Amino acid sequence: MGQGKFPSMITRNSGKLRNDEVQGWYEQHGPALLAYACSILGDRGSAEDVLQQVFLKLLKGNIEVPSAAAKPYLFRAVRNTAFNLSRQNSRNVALDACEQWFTAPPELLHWSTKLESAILSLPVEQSEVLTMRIWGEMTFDEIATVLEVSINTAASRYRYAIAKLRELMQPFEVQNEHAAK
Amino acid sequence: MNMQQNDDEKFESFLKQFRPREPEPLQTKKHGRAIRRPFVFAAWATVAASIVAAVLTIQFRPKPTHPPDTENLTGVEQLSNQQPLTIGSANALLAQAPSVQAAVDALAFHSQTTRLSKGKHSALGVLSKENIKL
Repeated sequence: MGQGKFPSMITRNSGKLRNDEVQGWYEQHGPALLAYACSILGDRGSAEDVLQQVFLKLLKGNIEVPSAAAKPYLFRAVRNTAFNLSRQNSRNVALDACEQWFTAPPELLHWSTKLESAILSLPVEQSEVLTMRIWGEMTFDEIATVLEVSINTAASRYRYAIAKLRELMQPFEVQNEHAAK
Repeated sequence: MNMQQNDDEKFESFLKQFRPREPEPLQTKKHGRAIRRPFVFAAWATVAASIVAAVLTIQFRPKPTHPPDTENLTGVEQLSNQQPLTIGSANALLAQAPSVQAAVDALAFHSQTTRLSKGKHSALGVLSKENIKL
């Protein structure tokens, strides 16, 4: 944590982050961060562990994170921790119904697992951009900061991810359109 | 180009209908929450399997049977009566018999293990009594 572009906005000092501030971030960004960790690890249990590790470190450590930079910092921290963990475990974990990481309106609920499978079938560098963009609601600038790549690279990975995901999710998308009519 | 963009936007809004689930509450009181590592489950599974195996072994261990009519027989007689003649049993007979002659006798004349019920005769017995005229 706190490497690359981050040292400029994250500093270690004597003042800890306030617990309620960290708790607020957890509530605000927790679901997107969980989905992001799931897209890397493919396993909700491990993703939950990653989130806990990151936030407990924030609560314990003397880390100062400006509120404006909190979201990219959190995604970066989750990314580093998840990749460390995935070096030990395999990413291809069978999806368990009780371990789903998406929820949806009742008419789409049964497609959640399909979506998760589709995301996991993407290359990690595409799935993580997709997750940050769609569910993290991040700008390409923020995504580029997290991944330490150019904005163009981030945007192009996103386009590839969307194209591939559309291909994989086509039957569900069509069904959804019919349901909407 | 515009159509493609519109389609992408539609697809993005379709994807946004799926919402990431809430994570478990932050375990602020339990610092250093134990990581769910696969080997922990494997260790527990191994322990459980060992206990089950031990219980089953104790439960279904074959009990030694002592046929009542063989209790008073000597070792040589027991071996010759209860077991089919094999190299192993012959070795055992040789080891237990007082002399080689006794062992050979026991092998040659070891008693029939299956006793026939009254009124039944063995085929070999009947044939041996027949007078075959050539």
